[in-house]
Amino acid sequence: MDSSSAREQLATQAAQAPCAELPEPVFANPSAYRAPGTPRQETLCSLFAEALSVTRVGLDDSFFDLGGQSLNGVRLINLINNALGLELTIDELFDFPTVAELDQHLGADPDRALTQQQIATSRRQA
Amino acid sequence: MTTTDAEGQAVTVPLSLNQEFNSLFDGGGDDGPFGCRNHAVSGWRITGGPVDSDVLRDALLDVVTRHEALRTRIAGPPDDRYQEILPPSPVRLDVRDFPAAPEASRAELAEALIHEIETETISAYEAPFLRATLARFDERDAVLILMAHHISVDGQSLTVIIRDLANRYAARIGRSVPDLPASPQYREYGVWERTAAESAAAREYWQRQLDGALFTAIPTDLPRSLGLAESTARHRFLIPGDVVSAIDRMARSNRATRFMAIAAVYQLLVHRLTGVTDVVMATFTPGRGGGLFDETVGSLYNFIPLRTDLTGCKTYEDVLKRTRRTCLEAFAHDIPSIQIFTEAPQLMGPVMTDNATAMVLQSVPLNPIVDAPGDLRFVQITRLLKSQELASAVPDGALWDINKDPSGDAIGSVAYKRNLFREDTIVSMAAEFGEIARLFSASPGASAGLL
Repeated sequence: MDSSSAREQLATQAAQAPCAELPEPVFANPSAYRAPGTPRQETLCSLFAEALSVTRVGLDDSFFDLGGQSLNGVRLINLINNALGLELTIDELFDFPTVAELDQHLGADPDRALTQQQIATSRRQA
Repeated sequence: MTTTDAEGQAVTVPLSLNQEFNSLFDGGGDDGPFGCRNHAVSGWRITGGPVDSDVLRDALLDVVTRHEALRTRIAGPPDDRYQEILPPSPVRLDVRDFPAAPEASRAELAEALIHEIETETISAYEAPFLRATLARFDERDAVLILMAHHISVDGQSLTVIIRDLANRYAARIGRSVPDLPASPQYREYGVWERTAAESAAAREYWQRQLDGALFTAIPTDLPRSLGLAESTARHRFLIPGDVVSAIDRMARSNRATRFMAIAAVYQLLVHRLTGVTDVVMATFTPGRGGGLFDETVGSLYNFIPLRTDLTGCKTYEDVLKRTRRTCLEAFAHDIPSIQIFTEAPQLMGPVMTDNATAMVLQSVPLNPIVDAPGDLRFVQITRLLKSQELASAVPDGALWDINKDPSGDAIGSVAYKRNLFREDTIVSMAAEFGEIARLFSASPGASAGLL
């Protein structure tokens, strides 16, 4: 497996040929793409794409393969918590780095969904 | 937004916590936080068409108008400093032409020019706190170098500035451009830091995590008591692409980031230099409220201690697992450095001594391609390989920066105080880092060789 993220591969092309036209980036193996099936999976896929600045994220695309680092991980966790009313931590993202894994992890713990009121009182932005 | 009151006076606001943190290191002088060598310098290759210097000058003024931090100076006596927000004023733009050069030698000329600019200075008192140099190879290929005072910007700010500059330039030559995103001003970050960033849970975490912790001090070559004039140099070294790929694979199989793997290597280096097992190092986080202030220009980062007890780690992989835990906890409790210091007042004691200092590690993944509308392409120049005798100042000790270059190699940079370290010492530390990185990534299950 190539260890470069899609963004890095694009940067490589730009560095090697500063004057050439850049191709459109391809961010995931299209044949491996698995579309989200539930509203929560759809939300998670679109938040992964937003936080990691990629065009499309499937269920099995890993946070790490998409160029995930601690910094955009914190950003992604904030987006997810705000959108879904959760209190996920960055550890959980790192332990369950695909939408499929994270979704399954959330499903296993129904108490995770806090009310907005609880979030407002308990959550402090770090 | 106006920055003057009804009488046309400059607006004043309190220092941000980051600026208070910086003030702690103020010993005066050119290399100090308010000194003329405390700057951030970066260069971009601009291709695809000519760059009109008059339009560029106007676009630079647009950027200074948009971001208050570029015209905010720190005023007042050392014990009562405040921010003073001044009206927009034009940016100094120096324009020159490179001698005729074939494509193959242009990267080297560009690097030499970036290093030359870095030996120059910028005032922390005369706004705006941004300067620019445009150097042309030909009508379709140029280099733009920006220098900003580091009390006014951090690394991420430069990426905001160049994106905004490319946008304003394209707009001014009549191209259709997207609206720039809303950009909260730096003073709003200062207010946010003092209110929303306050977290009892995070403070409690740092109090517990840093209980009894002492920053791992690195022995220096030259005691502070010699009173040598402060000055900063930079040593660069290359980590070959195959080693970087192996590091990435090891990080990924442990569900860790490249930064965590690099921090693990760095901690082993610190352990070997000092014999200390309870390693306390530090890094910088963006400190931008996890995305709330991504578009803000200013000095927003936090200095975050990373404490990892390596006792009992048998293999390189053990060290990585423990470092991963340290990093995840620390990043989940990212609060302004001044608040962390309050919870651990003893922390920095060992690095203030006559014969020792602090080293800090950073590794911020960059996207060198600027989101630029119109015909011009802006690509940040990241492949800088040469060492420098005179570089942008570091506050003390040494600052390590390890980043993967688009070529696949990683470039290591150690900016160090020449009044504390001899060049040979830094060169041998860098070589040892490279050797640990090679062994670490080639045989994750091998003995980490703790002393």
